[in-house]
Amino acid sequence: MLGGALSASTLSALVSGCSTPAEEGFTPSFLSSDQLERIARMSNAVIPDTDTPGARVAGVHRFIDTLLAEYHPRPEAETFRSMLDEFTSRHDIDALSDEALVKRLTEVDRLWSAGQEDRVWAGIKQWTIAGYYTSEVGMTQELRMMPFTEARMDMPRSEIERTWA
Amino acid sequence: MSMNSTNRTAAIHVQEPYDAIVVGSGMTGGIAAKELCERGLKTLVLDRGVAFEHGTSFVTEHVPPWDLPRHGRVPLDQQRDEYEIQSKVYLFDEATKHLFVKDSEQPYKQENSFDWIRANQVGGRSLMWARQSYRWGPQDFLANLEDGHGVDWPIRYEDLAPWYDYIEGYVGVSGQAEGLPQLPDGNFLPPMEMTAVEKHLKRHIESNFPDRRMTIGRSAVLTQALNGRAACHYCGTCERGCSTKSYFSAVSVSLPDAMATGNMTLRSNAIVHSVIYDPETNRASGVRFIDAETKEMIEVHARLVFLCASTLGTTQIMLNSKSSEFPNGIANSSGVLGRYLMDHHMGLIAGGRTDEYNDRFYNVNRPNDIYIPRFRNLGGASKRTDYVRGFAYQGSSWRSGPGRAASMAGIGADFKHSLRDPGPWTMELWGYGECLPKRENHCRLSETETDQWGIPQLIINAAWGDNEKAMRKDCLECAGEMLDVAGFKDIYIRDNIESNPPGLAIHEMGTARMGRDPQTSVLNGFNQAHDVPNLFVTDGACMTSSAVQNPSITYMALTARAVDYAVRANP
Repeated sequence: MLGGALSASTLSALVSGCSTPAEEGFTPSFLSSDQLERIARMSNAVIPDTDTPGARVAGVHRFIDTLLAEYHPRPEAETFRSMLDEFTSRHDIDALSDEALVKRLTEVDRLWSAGQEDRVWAGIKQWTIAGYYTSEVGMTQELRMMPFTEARMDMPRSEIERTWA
Repeated sequence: MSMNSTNRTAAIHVQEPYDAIVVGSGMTGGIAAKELCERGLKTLVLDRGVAFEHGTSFVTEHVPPWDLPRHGRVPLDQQRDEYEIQSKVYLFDEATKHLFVKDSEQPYKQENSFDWIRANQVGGRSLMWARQSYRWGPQDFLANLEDGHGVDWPIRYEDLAPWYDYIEGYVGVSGQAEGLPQLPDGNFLPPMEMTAVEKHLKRHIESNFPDRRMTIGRSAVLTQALNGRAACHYCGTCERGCSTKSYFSAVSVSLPDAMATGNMTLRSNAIVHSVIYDPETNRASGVRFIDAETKEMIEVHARLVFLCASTLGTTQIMLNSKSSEFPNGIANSSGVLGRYLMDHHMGLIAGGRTDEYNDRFYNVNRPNDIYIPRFRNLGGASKRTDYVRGFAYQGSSWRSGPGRAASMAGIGADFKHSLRDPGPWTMELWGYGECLPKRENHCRLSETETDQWGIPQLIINAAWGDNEKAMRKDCLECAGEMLDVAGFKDIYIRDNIESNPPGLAIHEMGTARMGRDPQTSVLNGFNQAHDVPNLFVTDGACMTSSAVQNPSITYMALTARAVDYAVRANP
């Protein structure tokens, strides 16, 4: 039962209890469905579900797949793919429960924030922020869109419930 | 040289004559069209861009980021391969890229770096302009005379003042009257408001530097309804087009007004090749243009020809209008056509942060900045020994949004919820400086390479000079000291001259300058060619010096004045 015969996504499903790693009705353009699922788990660790939906519901992983497929030149995207696979395997991401994943990524983030180079983590974190706060969930449920209204350029902060996305 | 050498098509179609032809339909072409049509002249407006109409063409207006396939990003390969120059513009993105030409399809030659920013549609760059609208002051029309750079302007501020009044009333400019001689007040709609941090900076600048003033930007955005146009709704992305006509563009305002007279014929996809010169009458008898879709060469005639094709577009057409009388371009007996190219120099950034005013905020994306008018070389103690002319600043303050999280430590629920608050305030000032008119800064036609329509490509050669560089140093120092005296922290000053070559301010001007002497200038004081009396140039090509103010409102005032003259004088 152990060993290379077991695919990463199967392992992930077994360990984390996630039974539908890939998305129904969505075929990634660049990432494999395993890679897409790993991105989804990691981005949702950055921006989790709270009283508003997190990164996965907002579709951040799809956004990242689109960036890799369409925005970044193909050689850059392929480089990222190899680095992502190396990162995933080094941190044993597929084997970690969601709780353990958060713990592991908190440590990864701590080292990165302290100045250690980590291009995979930098990419995932930056794209997650960019994708979430330009998504409909991020801009209308978590934060607020600026209204079309009369301008008040100097007003009390307290009159605005949450900041603008 | 005969015209036949550059005609690619054997058959030339000749259309019925008009009273006037306007080449270009942007900022100045739109005004020329409106003014000519309202005076009853049957006017043909030709634009090389694609058809573009108010409302229906604003396909990305109010589209939220999540409905743009890449949330606003243009693929990097496409930026490099198709939009190498245009992609440098601050507002180039997935929602606006269709408004810019593809550099790959419309090449030009750079002998020094020059970013030639060009629009792809009828209405030109008036759709995407930054809307800042400042009168020139009396000193700007005297500058060349007084310090000897360039030739004297053939007009003074007083000649243009009534036309500023007129154009401001039509365009709609919001702003604050300040009573400054170097930046005359105008016919303003109510000013927009400053943020708490901007008010703070203003107080400290004005109490510490009696010669300096900070005011809200004078912006061609309506703060109250005007002529059936609604006040701004502050959606924040003017450049995508405005269905309520709240900012001024040719697409939404001047071209519809021209059309409403029944006197305008507007033709898009019309690549003007040259102005036709008639040696018998010494007049411009019309223009030749190529239909971009059929490749057909068409001739059309008129009593008056107005070139409003943008600074370099107009000069390219004039240089390509060769005849035995004008072998180096129409109306170019002086030999200065193409020379004295200018742009404002920018890429001067000073900023700082403050921990105060965390209890203050704002509720919209204000389509406007603050402005610190020029205060150097205005007489008395303001005189500098290291450079002539002056600079001004635009600037803005903001509280950072959730994007700051990309470089913040943390993940998870607390991290997410901390971003529900706005971040700290930043205040930035962006310097813009006057550029001296220099003969060596020029454009000319390539003798070997043509574009896809057989028109010689433009070669551009311009660079910043010592005067601009000395001014930049002072500009940054002054910005730093103003932020410092106001108590800002972590102050940074940056001179990004390398990434801001001439052109990128998109205030390119000169190359067919006005002047008093036909031997040293192309146009007289009414924007009329010295050599060819029924040929007028009213876009940025006409400019004799650059001043430091954003130029569109001046171009429009000059255009309205030139049309008034042309129709009265009937040359």
